[in-house]
Amino acid sequence: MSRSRKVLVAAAAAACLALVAGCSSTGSASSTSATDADAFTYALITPGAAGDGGFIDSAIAGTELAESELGVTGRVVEAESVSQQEGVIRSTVATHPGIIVAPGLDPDSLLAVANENPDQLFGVPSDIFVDELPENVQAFAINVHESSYLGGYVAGSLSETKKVGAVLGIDNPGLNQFFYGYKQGVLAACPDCTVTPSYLNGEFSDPSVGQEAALALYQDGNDIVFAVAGLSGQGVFTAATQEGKYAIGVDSDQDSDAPGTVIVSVMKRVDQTTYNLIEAAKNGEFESGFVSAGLADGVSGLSWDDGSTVFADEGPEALASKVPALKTEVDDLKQQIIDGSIEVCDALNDPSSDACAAVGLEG
Amino acid sequence: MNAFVDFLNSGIRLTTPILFAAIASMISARAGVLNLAIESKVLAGAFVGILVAAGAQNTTVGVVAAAGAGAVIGLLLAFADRLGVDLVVLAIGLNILVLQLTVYLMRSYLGGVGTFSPDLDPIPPIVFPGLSELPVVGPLLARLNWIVYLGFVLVVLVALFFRTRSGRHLIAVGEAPIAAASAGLPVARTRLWALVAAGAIAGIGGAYLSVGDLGLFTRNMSGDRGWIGITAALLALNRPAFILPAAGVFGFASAASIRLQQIDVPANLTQFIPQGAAFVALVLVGIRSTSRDDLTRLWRNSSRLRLRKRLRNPPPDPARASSAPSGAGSQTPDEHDRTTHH
Repeated sequence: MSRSRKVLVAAAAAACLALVAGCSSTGSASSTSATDADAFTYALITPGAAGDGGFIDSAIAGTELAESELGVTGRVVEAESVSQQEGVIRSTVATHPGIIVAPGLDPDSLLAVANENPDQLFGVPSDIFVDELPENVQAFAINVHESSYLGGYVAGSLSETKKVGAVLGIDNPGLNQFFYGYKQGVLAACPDCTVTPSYLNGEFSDPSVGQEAALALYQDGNDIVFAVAGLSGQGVFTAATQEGKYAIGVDSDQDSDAPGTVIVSVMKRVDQTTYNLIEAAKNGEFESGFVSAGLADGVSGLSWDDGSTVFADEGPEALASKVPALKTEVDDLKQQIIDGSIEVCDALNDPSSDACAAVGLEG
Repeated sequence: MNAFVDFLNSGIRLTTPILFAAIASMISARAGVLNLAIESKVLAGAFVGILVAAGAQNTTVGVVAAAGAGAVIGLLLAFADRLGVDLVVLAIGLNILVLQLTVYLMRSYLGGVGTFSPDLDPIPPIVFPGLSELPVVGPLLARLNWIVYLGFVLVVLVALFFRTRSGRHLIAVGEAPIAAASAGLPVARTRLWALVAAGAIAGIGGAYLSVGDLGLFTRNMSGDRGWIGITAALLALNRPAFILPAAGVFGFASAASIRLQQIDVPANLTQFIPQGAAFVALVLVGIRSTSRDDLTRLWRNSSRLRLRKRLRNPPPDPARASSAPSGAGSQTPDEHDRTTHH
């Protein structure tokens, strides 16, 4: 008995060592790049592992762009759980980077550390839901209702059944900003269309449930579904492929996740805001407070504007042939939104507006 | 009517992985092991299944590999059981390990993304000539692949197995390991095979998610179906006759929460259905004192009772009384006394 226990303990110790070795080797590899004393440094703290296919990957892409464009150096630190975050922020502050970029972290931890270290700059590329910020924090609020409107306009124009749907991870104001913008866009293109939401009960990483929800919409006669559900959205694409119907992607450019099935993606450019924060801090233009950004600032928009032609190339001829003309219309609408001649419902910041009442949101 | 049939069809698909997990949990429980590692077996099956299926470009090979991956974890549990490791603690460790290991491997070797989406078509549904044109039966049986039917067949097979000689031995090992050992049954070996079989079955449940249904793998795609399977097996009192309806409760609750939104039931109400079903199920299990005894006995068997040690140094008292210093265990003799006094 005791010998077999020893074997187990040894095996466990070996496993631990292997894990520690894995961690420390990546850590030292990235920290060597930060030894150049003259270069401006950043640190990116993410609330989860890289590879979410969403805003974390997008933020990392932003730092990579900043490294190549601005010559800055820095590193990415992952804080897997909320309980780790405060410790990770503190240890990152101790390395004195020029700016700490922190998307989607627990606001209490972040602001507590920021208040204690007034000389350390912090930047939030998206989504921090608090009322005030300390002097050393700048936060972007990316508004997606206007770009969702454009996505909805595309869906309304291409729908053959006059029924379109949306699969949303959860029923909250943040996701409803996508939905009501989308709905308004659909109705602008196709006034007699119906727009049906399907909420997933907070399941953002269960593609099987996303697939069933999308299938329910397709069986009900909807032919285009907007997937706003993180990894569950992958299930929406599978359902669309299996049923020979179409989908619209979200957050990053998902057009090639299911080529010819995903018509367009409504992008939330966390890479852009990450880059902007690092650039501003490097050039001494850092300003504390909230920056509300959206379609007009280029931090939210359609994948088509980024040059994605996946659907035009690989979609079925009947729909793909409509894309060039539709793109012109969408560009025109985009200009009208930026000019202010079209007001889009913002379910997050202004749910009691007339535009929201018109699309059935009870503010 | 059509919407209702589509709902049933969706419910069957959502039930399938839960059913496999529940069968796995039932077999383990009947062999006297509280197997909390089902979640890791489902996830490992999903991961290995899609990886092998993509490599071999053959979904059947992938499903077999998934069963193998689950069986390996079952084997690990069985060996740990022999060493006297606390299986509850080990299972919790395994669940975390497999989750992080799949993420680590995806990142290191599969392009570093949260989704692994190989160029692979999921298993095609079985089309019955003639039946698919019928009005109600056609849509009901649409989009169901062979793994779904395998789940139903397995329920029958396990029910029949429990009536065979080896099946009876397995149940005897689970109910009274000391007595079984005295009667000459190979207790440790029976448990080993039960854990391996349970692992393979849970692994196929995982393969249904990745290879069978979606053709892709995402981080943590088992989504607690292993745990729901354990709950379903408890609700079924670990009896094959009840396992299908018990798993169905959870699968159909999930389908209902999706489908009811289409007929204007408010989302905040429909979203409560799966959690509500789990809650009601656990209350039902809890108010049945017999199943509570089952549960406490299982717990003792798996985490306290050291069979090998006990066999070497037989205790002076009967096994049941001596192995129960805790409050939960000490209730059993009290109840026993009460019934004999009447």
